[in-house]
Amino acid sequence: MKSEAHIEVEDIHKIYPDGVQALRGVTLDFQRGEVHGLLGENGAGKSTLMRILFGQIRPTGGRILIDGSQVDFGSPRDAISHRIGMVFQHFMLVSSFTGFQNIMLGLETGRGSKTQGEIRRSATALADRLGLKVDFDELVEDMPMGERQRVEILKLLVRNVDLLILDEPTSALTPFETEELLKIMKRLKEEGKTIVFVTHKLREALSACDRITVMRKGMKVDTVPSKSVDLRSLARMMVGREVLSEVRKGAANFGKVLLEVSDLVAFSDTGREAVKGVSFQVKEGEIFGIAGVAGNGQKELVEAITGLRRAESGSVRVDGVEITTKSPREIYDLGLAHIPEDRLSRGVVLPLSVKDNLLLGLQSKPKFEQRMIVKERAVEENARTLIRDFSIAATEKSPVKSLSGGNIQRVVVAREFSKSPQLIVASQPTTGLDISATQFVRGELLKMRDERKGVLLVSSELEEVMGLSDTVAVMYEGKFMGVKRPEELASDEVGLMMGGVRVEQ
Amino acid sequence: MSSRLPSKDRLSKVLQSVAIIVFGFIVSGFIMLAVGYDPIAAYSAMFFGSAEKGMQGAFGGIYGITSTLREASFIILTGLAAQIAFSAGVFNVGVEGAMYLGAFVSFMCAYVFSAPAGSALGVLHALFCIFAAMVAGLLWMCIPAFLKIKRGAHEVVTTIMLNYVATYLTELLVVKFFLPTTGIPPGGIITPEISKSAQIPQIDFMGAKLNLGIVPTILVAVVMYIVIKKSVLGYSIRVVGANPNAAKYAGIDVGRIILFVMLAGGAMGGLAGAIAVQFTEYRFDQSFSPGYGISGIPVALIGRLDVLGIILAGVFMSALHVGAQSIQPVTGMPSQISLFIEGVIVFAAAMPGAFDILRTYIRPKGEKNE
Repeated sequence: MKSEAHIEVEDIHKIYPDGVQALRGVTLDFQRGEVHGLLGENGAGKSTLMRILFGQIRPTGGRILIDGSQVDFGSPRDAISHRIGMVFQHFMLVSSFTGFQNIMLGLETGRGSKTQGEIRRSATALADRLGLKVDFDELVEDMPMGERQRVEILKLLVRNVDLLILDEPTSALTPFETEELLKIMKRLKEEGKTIVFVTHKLREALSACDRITVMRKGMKVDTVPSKSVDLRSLARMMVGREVLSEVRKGAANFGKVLLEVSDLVAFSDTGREAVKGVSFQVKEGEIFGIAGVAGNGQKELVEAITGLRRAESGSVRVDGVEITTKSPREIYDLGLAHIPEDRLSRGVVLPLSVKDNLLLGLQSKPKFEQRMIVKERAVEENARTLIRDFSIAATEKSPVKSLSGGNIQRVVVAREFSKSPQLIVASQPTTGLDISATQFVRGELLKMRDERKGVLLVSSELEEVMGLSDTVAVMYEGKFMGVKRPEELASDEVGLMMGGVRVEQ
Repeated sequence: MSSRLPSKDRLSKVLQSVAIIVFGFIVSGFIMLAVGYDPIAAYSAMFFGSAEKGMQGAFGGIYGITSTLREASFIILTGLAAQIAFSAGVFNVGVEGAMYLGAFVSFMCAYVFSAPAGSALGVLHALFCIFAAMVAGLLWMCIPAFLKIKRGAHEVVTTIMLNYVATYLTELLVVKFFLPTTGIPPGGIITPEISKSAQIPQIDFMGAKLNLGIVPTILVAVVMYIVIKKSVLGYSIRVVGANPNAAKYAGIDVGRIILFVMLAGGAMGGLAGAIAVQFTEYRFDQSFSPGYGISGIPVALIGRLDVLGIILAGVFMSALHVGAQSIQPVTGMPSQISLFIEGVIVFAAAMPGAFDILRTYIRPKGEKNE
């Protein structure tokens, strides 16, 4: 099977239009006929790199070589014509079409195109040889996730793809389906295909891959043969040796329980069990941090706690009151504030002004409403105060869409803090913020804690969770892998838990 | 609130709209030149009529002005109905159906019951008929509203289909139960006259009959202005329209807001129907509407979803429509061309408003960070 370089990427840089530097010079190679793992936390640059390789986005600098000659992709179509294909985490299938119609899609016209019968025969032959069990005539919407994925893979194989990029392919699968997929990958490898397996799951990476490249913060840490590493060293490479506790904070002094979650189960939008029986407490004066790679159920957990998603079972108590059957408004009235993960799509209303956004969720409070009419003067007064106190660089009348990301988050934070909550749920509160805005938000959360409020902090930025929290839990596939005080956690232990390895509590 | 735009922004919106309307007139002018008619003469006939041909256009005399105002009262109402739905991100095309149903219910209440005209009881009767028409429009709109909220059926599809149901249903009822007494053409599909007590008189205005339909219309406009710009409900509507996710997060019941805007539109459509019956025709005429309900959508767009703007746009569109009828007798231009020109101008005028909506509801998809 060894060993010609199939694809090489050299010194790839990517700076997004908003100035985010996603890749800072990555050089690596994929050998023909290997399964190559790409491992890293959120924001490490894995997806950006793969989307560049698939022609979806253009690199800011660097080059790509296939079998030694340079290529330049303007679109995924170019990539496919160079025999590179990608299966996305969220499948790109037409759910009202059958499996075969999806495979055919885009092949039906053009000069010298094969007939349907020919394509069907070759697809069937491929599927049989590789053990890709697909019912060609079943509608995709009726298929389980694993079968949909096999349709995606077959779709690429019919297009003669040699390099398959699988982006987090096991995240939507059941354990049995995962087993199946790993077998298929092995067979594909025996056929001489190259597979890039993007993941954050350490065990899967170790068992399925020949070599593993670990990325962190837009750079390659190293490429290692999987035989020469173990879970612990991979975890260390992934997380790095950051200074984990540099935020100064006073001694912890917990009071009564403000939030009590027990055996909570919640489903994702696609009906998968995303939160699988989680229990924890947040007390007065405590920052309870939940770390973990995004997409492991944190979003669903937060939404179930804030009333935006139905809990399937289990209970959530805010200040002793059961809230799983209450509406978001009733939950806010119990003293809960929420800094949502997706601030643009949930936290603000972009076309409305700063003052109207600072009113969001408070519109029916007597302070701002009198006999169904908005008290305009109070709203303006409130906006001026918050703009000053939270240093929002805008006037009360500017539409929020004209603000920078950092200022938009300041608007959200200002509004949520102005509710004078007992308990604040902050989800990815500093993602995409510049340093000063980040410091500001973290400072405000610590201030809440020191005022003996409760804080539930959910963040995929490890540094943040470790630095701010009094208690840390690591979430993986809908469960907590461990709950500890941050001082007691070694960085490789966190890495292990993030990669799905349970650590003794 | 934010919808009170800074004056500079508002001025630029007005200028933009005016510029594009002028552009529409110029384009139409070239079309007329191309088919061999004098655009200046046509526009002059449209707005000011021609004394020797006995046409008054939209504003060229008291008959023209009262006609323009009469039509304007309908399309301002339906424009406001479209506007409140747009504000919540709902595309309510069903005002026409609600209007037909409202007109029929108003007729039934006004025909079956009667009271001494001019007495307090008579006034009450007239008000009752108007109220019944509004309730009918409101209940009618419950159908698409519930289909949307409970089953996710898109309101554009359901309301357009229900428009047919409402117009043909009323036609059927009239043909079945009233035509035997009223006869077919030249009257068309019409019912007998309603009781005197339910008739709102048209007042003599310098020799012409002025229809009072504009009075309830302006009242509704004032209420709408307060609801949308000043009330908590209006704030909630705007949040739902711009970002339903954020609305849910802010504890706003999105379903109830959608229900409200659709039912409010239905009530306004019902009121328009009552105006047709009790203020204008004094009977139910199956062909009373040249599409007033649908015209509400371009009116709301030309008015840039602003109450004052909609009043102006309603008068403008009604003037175009009334005025276009003077073009053929004055210049000899076929009426198909004047209708075509009306369409070109309305289309141009509605563009900026349509883009406003596209900007709010469809966000650009750029490169996304990992």
